[in-house]
Amino acid sequence: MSVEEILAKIEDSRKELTEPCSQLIQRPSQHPEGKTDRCVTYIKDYFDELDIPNEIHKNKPEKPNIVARIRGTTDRRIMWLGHLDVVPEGKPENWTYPPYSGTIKDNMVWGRGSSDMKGACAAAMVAAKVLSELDQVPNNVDFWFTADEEVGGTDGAHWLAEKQIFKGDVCIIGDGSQRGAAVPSIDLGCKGGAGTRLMARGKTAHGSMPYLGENAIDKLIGAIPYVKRVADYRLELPQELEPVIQSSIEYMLKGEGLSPQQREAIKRIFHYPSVSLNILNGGVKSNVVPDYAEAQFDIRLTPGSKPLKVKKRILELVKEAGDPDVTANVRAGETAGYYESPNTPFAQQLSETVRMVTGNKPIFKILTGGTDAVSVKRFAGIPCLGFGAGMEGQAHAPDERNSIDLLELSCKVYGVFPLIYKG
Amino acid sequence: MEFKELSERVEALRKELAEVCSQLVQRPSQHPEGKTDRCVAYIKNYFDELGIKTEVYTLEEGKPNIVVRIKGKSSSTIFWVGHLDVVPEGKLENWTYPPYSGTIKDNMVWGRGSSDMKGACASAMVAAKVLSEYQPTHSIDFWFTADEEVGGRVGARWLAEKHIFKGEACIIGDGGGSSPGLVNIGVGNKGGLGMRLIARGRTAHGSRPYLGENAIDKLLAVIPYARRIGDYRLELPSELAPIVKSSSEFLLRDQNLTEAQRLAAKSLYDYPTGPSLNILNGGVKSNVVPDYAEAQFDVRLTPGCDAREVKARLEELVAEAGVPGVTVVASASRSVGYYEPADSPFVASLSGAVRWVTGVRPALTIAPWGTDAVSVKRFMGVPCLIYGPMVETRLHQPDEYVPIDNLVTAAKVYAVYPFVHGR
Repeated sequence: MSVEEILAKIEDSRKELTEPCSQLIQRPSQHPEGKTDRCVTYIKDYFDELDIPNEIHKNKPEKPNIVARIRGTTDRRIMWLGHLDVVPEGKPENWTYPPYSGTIKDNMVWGRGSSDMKGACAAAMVAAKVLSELDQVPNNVDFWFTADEEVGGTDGAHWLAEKQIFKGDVCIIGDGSQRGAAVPSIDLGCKGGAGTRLMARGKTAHGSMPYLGENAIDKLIGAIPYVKRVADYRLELPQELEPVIQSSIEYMLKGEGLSPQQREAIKRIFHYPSVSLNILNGGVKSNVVPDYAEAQFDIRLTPGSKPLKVKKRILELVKEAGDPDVTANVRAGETAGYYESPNTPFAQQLSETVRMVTGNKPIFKILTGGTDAVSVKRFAGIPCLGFGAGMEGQAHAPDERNSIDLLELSCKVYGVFPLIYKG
Repeated sequence: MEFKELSERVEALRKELAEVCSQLVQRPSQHPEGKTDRCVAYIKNYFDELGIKTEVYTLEEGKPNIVVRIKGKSSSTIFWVGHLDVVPEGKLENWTYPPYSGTIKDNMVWGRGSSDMKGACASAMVAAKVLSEYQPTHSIDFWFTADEEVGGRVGARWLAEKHIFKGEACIIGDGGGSSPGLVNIGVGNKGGLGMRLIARGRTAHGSRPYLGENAIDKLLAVIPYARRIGDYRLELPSELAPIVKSSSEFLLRDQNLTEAQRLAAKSLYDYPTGPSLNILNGGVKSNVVPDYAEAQFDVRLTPGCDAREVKARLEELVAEAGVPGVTVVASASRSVGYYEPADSPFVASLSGAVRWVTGVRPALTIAPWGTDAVSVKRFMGVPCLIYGPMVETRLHQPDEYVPIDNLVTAAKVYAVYPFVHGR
């Protein structure tokens, strides 16, 4: 079967795409529980009915992972990887349609997970279905639907990669977003973290005579501006990455409705660490001067940078704050995130696939957020490229939605690549 | 009646007094639960064994209040109020002796509540025991109550509001006054201005913080403005001036204060206390830009000032910060705390008793902290004075202790007072 035929087949099953997407949304899998069992049952039924072989792998009963396998005519194996868990829905009043309704309206599927990333999972399911209907496929293809991505992959990709259950020559990561067929993009890598915890210790006192204590919150607040200054630390990056960084920045700057401040932030986001103070806690009782307070910073680094140098800088800054009762704990390893070179056959052949599907040459970019690719790379050693099916700006947001156009587009890419890939 | 005999009788019970205090400390009653049941059972048993009747009053299970009534010759009754609940112990590593060990060492009883105020409760129990052996001029009810540390909802406030408390004058045991060189009577106490800063923002993924509005950052930007309420000079009634002066002088008698602490103590009555930033919370997940953060300040005001004016100034300051999405919530009424005129007969007779026991004329002070006196005043209109064995500098701190000498001194005053009331 030719590529044209498979594209036509997917266009015909456009309506079929919304159903699994909506059904997966209607099976909530949000954290902190992040239970994937109901979604996995749905996927298993879907593949069982089509007689597509599938297996469940689980480390925890309520967090199963499932793989559907398409037989190929060679030994080559392509892995597709997506996650079924979603982030919490936040305040219900911020949603036009209930977050787990999976409402289909205005050519969109609405609900938590539609873009991150039950939509992509639905696209992969339909791609697997179409592939299974072909007489022959040149590559084996494993479609993996996993748990726990939003919390680091403990019982999902991290576990599957570490236990060498994942197999493949290359891996396509379905996590990520697209802006549409006119400006398709492929993710060459993603940033990594240098999560930092700042801790202050003081001495309690009665709130009526605060001068008799040492307020840990005050100490913490005193040191916070110092940690924030790591945002001015210029990262050392490999030369080969610079063109990809530039195209990533250009791509991001084309986003809609950006304020001048946001544009400035984007221009810096790969050459400097991004710093966000996301959790702050201190004190136990309103009339007791607190003896402990802590802040958690989300600090992200471009792949190819040197996390240990950044760590050193953060610790220097904390020292500069000059309060011995304030200490920092920086989680940083030898590398941050990961990236693939844009010149490999894998990157070129995926790029060619996307061009065939959309008529446009995709740009290569680096993701600002982490994906399961980091585990796949690190533990299974499988090269990873991302082609996301989410709608830009929708991940983790209220009123999350995804367009049926994007579902169709990504389904085509996931369905066609196994015909194109030659190793 | 020879006071000397009474005094010697208390002196003879010194060991028992320390033991009773230790036993109460060994029955934890810390908040957030604040359960007083085990302490009340101990007190009931103590008096049962002496054949002295007690009554238990309970509004909420687990938080009983208990009273022991000593009958006097005349029909008039005074009452003593103490609380059995304590604040949390904080970090264990800050304690030399385990906080609920009630260790007796170096002529002190150590542990959470020893000073605030199981020590005073022990003094009152021993005073009641001694008084039961004599017939004092006036009847006295000793009340041991719950929930003082959280506003007295099921303790003194309830007992006052329902007029279950009875009597024409009230001694509040929640205070110092017995330490050598620091002999004093509290003729009032400061009140609080519950103050919270609330910041609202917009969530975003932690990898692209510039797409959100970080509520923690907003909060941190406004905090320095809110703190300036500490520079707002309070307008106080002129009759209070001498007491404010003696209260400040009294605090400065503490030889261990640093220069900064002395400065803070000097302005403790003419300006709002603090504000002490005692609770800070923001964020839910380390990789999500927070859309909500909150700061709780402890701000204390001298009785006689108009809290509404302070609140208005606070709102001005927060407006001056000019950060959208940050609001201040403050509860303020016309009156805060309470005070008794220095020339009242009650002040004269309690001063007399304290002087007889200690040999020193007590300074008249306004307690910087709140006490259950506020409820007794508000609901019953009964005059209240504060006197106890507390060590003011250890309030709510680790390594809280009370000197056994203080316990004995306070027990003597409590035993003598029912003979001298009205004299």
